[in-house]
Amino acid sequence: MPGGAHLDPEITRWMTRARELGATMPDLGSSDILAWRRAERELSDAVAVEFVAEPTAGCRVDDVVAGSVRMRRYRPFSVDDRLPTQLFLHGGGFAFGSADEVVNDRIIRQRAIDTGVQFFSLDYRLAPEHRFPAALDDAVVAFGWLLDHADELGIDIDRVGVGGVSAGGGIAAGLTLRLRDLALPGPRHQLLEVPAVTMTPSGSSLDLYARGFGLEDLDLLRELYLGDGASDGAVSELYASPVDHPDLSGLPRTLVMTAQFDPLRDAGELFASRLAAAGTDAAAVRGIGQVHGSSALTARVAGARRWQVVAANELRSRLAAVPSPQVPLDAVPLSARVVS
Amino acid sequence: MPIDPALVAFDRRVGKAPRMARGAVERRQNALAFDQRIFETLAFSGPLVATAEHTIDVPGFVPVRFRIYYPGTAVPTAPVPAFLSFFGGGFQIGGIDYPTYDASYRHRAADSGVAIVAVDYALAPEQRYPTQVEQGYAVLQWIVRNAASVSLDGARLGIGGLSSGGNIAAAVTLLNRDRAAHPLRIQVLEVPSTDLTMRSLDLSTARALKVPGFLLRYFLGTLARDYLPRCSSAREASPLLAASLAALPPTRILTAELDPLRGDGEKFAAALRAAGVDASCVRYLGLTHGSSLNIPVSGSTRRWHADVVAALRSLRV
Repeated sequence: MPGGAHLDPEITRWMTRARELGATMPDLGSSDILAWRRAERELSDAVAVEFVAEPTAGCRVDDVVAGSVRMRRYRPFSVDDRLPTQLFLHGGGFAFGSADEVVNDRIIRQRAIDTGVQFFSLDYRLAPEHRFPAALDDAVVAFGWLLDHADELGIDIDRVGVGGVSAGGGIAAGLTLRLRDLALPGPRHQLLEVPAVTMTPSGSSLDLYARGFGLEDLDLLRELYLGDGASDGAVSELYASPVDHPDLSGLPRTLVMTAQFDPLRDAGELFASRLAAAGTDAAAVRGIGQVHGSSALTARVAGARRWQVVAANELRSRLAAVPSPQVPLDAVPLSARVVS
Repeated sequence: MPIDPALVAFDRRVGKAPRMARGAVERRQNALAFDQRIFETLAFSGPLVATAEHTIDVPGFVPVRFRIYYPGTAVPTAPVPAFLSFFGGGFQIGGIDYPTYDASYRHRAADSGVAIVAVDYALAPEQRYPTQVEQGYAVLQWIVRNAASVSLDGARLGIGGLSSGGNIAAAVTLLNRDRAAHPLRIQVLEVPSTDLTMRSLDLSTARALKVPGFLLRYFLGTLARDYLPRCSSAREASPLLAASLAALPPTRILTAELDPLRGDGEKFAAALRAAGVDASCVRYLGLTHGSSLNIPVSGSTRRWHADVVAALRSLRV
């Protein structure tokens, strides 16, 4: 293994299985993106059924349509009317994946049950038909729509976060920045898992784990997402590379979760460092022995189950915990204070 | 990542650590006084919980004292799961009466609903390997045999430790596998030392710690030398180098980024996985060796605590 990597034996099995199954799917890599996407979905679901644990019961699932975007809602059984809520963005290299994939469905369903957080898993538009900033625009629309419809959706507007995996983590981080820069209400918390926070990944992890660790062809994905750079420029490409944004202050509390053998690892950890240096309450943890896509392999990999525990702890203690008042007490005029 | 700014601010409030004394006794006095200062700066004593203390004989070795921290203010009427815990301190300092350890045991018991059995193993260099491991095993035996009489559930047991205590916990777990094989359901190792030959240290952390790598290795090597009896090899007391790591309980390891011992913990996780053990490891960025003990200092130290508590809670299902 390159880089002296000690891969979990079950992760090796997963990669082998994906390779075997993939070999029977001629449309993978097809010039017809729709055919390619169908094949990726079929492969993803077939592997997920074996490697991602089946969720327990305890949550209601339905679809909601917000104008031009669709979200799958996971509402945990609860006596509360208003729940802490997260807008979740799935992974898939900006060109693949959907809220309906088995892997996303199982992981988010279980997370809702484990944390009591309500999730809206967004089916954002994919590249290359819809290049940057289409996915980001969808996220902005979805986030605003959730806040606007908080009453009917049972959302506690003081406890709304964003989260995402891989490409979805990058979109989530871009969304938070975009909302801040537009002076729109933003999330209270970010959970970014193996996020793609830069279009020009850097650090030693990029070379060490470029081949044989389940995430390759980063250049191709960048090309699909950004195109030839001839976007109309209405939205700065900085929002596709949050790590390079010159102002990372005033952002919500953030946890970045990285995988040891992931080419995107160093950029993700750099993002957490830069957030912290800018005064944002940000931290990072690294899943040892994990690769880019392994955090979902909860049926087989101890490190994936542990990952989900850490993610659930984070959401419970830093998103779902009762919020401190929006305005500090000493900012309220004395006459307005209620003395009990 | 750079060191967690909240840790830096906290360390500044606590003030300088005492210089390393020559003799073990003086070193311990200094460490205890420093721990008292940390404790007072934290202003975080931990919830009031019921405790019970026992001292038992260990055939062939010095007796061992341990303290049970129950999850509530009273000794429970129905048995609760128990977790054997081994403090850290380079085998030479530390103890269950150090106020920060005492506070962390209280928190863990209260937050998890699991009793913490804090083992006050004997310190080196006066007592050396395998005394500490035999003491730990004796406590495990005693808990299994007397569980009902102290309101503990002998079928729901876990074990763990921090730093040198992680080494002892892992050694007790191995010893138990080869002797009575009492069912341990989980092992939690925090910044554990698993290789006393010092070959697994990750000295790439030295620069961030502003200590030369050779000095780190030398210092940690002296701790191991003082722990090991003259005739025994470091291999024997190194869980990572055990002949077999098969059939060990599910293990959760926590390492800190700015800690040369992260190499020990992460290699141990990989070796356990290769042996078919349900093991995982998470590295906390920006934290240093042992900084996790002071739970309320930062977001990351709280996350660490939540990670450990989640592991303890798994004993309740």
